[in-house]
Amino acid sequence: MSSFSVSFRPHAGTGPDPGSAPDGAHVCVLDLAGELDAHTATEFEAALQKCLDEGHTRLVVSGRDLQYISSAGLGVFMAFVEPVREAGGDIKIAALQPRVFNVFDLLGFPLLFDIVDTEEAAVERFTQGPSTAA
Amino acid sequence: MRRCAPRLTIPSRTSQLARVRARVACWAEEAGLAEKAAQALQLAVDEACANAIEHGYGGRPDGRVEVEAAFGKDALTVTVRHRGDPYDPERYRPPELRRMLEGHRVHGYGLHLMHRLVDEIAFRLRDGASEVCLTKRRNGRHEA
Repeated sequence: MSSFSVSFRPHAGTGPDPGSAPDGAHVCVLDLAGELDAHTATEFEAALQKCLDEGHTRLVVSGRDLQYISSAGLGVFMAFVEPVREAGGDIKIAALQPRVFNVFDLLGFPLLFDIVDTEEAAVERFTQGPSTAA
Repeated sequence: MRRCAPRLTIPSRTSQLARVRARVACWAEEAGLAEKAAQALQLAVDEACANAIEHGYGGRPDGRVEVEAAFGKDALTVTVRHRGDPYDPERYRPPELRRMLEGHRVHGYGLHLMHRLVDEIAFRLRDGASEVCLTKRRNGRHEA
């Protein structure tokens, strides 16, 4: 069976409050680990929904420990990014391993999402106004 | 004697996809595919199986999906076979990402990935079963 986990935490923060970006807004980081496929995508979907339900709209998805992604995982990003943007936030994607980034790239996702190398860079993007990828 | 049996039959449940990926990795190693080519084929077969489970069988868990390897001189072909609803390959269109984003579309990316990941893809109906044949050549396209 596929091994996958998702957890979320406030960004450590470089702003005035713990967990805040330089502009003071709070950022929620989702850490993905393992294999995100058609079986495990529902866990990721539930985690994103929980973030939204709790009022978080500035989200960073960290793929540092994500080993594998299929189209089912990509579909979850697509399902949530517009509602998050309409609520004034965004989903930034950070620290993808090359194998996983290549799958995003094959589908043209870098045109639609901010995909950056580090969690810190992703948080910085929230201080730079609306997503250029939107 | 091959290390991995050339045929794997799974119930139509997405929990089985990791098993399929592990078997494809073993076949790819035996076929001498480079790492990137092996990963590309692994993902393409995963997508074909997920389509069979979710669209062919409509999520019903009582179906069967067969995954079979054929080792050619310069290529590995993996066939995914099921007896659920057949897929009409004439319906395939590359996804328009911007429109799919606006429509919050969750599905529709797997088939496109399959086309991008392998050197040859063929759909056919045989003996009442739907088959998709995915071929990766040793010196072919290395995506993903």
